Amino acid sequence: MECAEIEELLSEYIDGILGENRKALVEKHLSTCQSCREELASLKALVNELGSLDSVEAPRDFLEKLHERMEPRFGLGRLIHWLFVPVRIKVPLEFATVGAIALLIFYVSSMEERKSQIARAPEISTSVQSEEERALDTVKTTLEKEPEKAKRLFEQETVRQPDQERKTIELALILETGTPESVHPPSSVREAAPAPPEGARVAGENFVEVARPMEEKQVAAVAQDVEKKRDEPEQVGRATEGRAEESPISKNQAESSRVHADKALSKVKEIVSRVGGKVILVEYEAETDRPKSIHAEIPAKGYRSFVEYLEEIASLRTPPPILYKEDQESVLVRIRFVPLS
Amino acid sequence: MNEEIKTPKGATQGDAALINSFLEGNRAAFDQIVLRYKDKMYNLCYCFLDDHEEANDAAQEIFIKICRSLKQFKFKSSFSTWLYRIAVNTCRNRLKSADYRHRRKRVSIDNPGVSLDSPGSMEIRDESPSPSIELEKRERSMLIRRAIKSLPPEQKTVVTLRDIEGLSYDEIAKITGLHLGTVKSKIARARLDLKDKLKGVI
Repeated sequence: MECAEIEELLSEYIDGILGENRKALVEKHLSTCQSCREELASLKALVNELGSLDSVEAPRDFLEKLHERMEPRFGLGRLIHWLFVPVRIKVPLEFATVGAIALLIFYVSSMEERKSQIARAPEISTSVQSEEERALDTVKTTLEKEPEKAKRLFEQETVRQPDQERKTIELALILETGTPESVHPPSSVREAAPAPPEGARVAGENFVEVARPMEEKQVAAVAQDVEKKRDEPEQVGRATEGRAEESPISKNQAESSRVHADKALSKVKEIVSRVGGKVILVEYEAETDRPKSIHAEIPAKGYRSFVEYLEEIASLRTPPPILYKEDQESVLVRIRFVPLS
Repeated sequence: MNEEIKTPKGATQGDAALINSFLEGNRAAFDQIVLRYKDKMYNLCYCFLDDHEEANDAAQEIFIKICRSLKQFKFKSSFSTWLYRIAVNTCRNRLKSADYRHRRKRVSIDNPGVSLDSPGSMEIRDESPSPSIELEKRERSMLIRRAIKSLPPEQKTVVTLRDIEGLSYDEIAKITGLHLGTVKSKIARARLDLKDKLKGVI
């Protein structure tokens, strides 16, 4: 055998795993070849050196560290480890970020929508105005047929007025009680209120289901019907009947006061329509048929002009309140007609 | 021929008993297995990775893998063979990983020629005075390890398992999945290469 072939068998020879035949061949060659003997000696030295390499030992806290590394699988540490380590095989954080942003946008947009719904609420109430007017007509029809029921409704609404979220601004208009220059018939003033269409009908339960702005209009309609029925006492049967036994002087004063109030009422109605508002209700004194007060809805932006116009026709008992919340659409005002005494 | 890896002295229970005990819920049995093999695994990892930190991390990873997959161990081979197979694969994967290569590259650029984690640097921490012979021996050990490290992966694996860990050819064939003849030839080739590389040292 050549030295190269022997050299390849020396490793197995050292380890003692050569078959008997090959082992004999190697030993025969080694006995005659100095070079191969030196090669064998070098290989044996190498193997001995490798076998005697200092083995390194694990750190003393190897087991503790291993426990620490395995324990995080239970609890928060495990969750964090599971979520983020190693990142390359987890869901990329970008996706998580995109998801979070999408949630945020959804939340903000839903909040904005809610705000806009709140802001649109008055528009919605005006958009259904035609339906409200229809309901008003039905109320009037009901009033004609069931005056007691309408009266109860009127009283109920009058009582509920202070509880409304929109506070009514109270104004007192002081009227002079001198002899009027000219007396306008009250009926001419009352035409400012819209006349109900004929033939409208509704069941009694529908009153309850109408929204609050509509209820206010119902009250107005009731009041207007009260006015009309005052002109037609034989139909309504007013409470003032049978009070004609008063003295002529007091009757004159009462008549004068009534005429002044009627005049003021017509002017106030005109002012209300001038500033773009609408009359909701006119209250009358039961005994004298004198206008007692008028309820109106005034656009907030026209409130200041409204007050100025009022002060032109008569003085106010107390200074009108300043409207701070001009962002609201409209305000409710009640002007009382107070005789100068 | 050693057919099975020698267990540390004082080991009173066999691997199979410990494994069965662990599978029955005795976590202390797993600790016993760790204590029994931790130094061998650490040394093997160090031979492959030539870095104490990496070796420690890899050795722990091996035991974590063992813990998770002990239920799948069917005793078709000896536990030590199975353990070494996992260890060799773990070290190979680490050597292949980009992180490891990047790290080694960084170390070699920062301090060419000497790794910060080289055995020499670790042993310098020993404050006891070292005789010159001891120092020479350590330097020789370092050179041998570097020579092993420079071998092709399969040669490095088989020669480490054979000449450092002392495993039999059959065992090495089972661990590596190579044919017995291939193991023999690769060990012979690796030894000749090492002899050439270490000429003047040994």
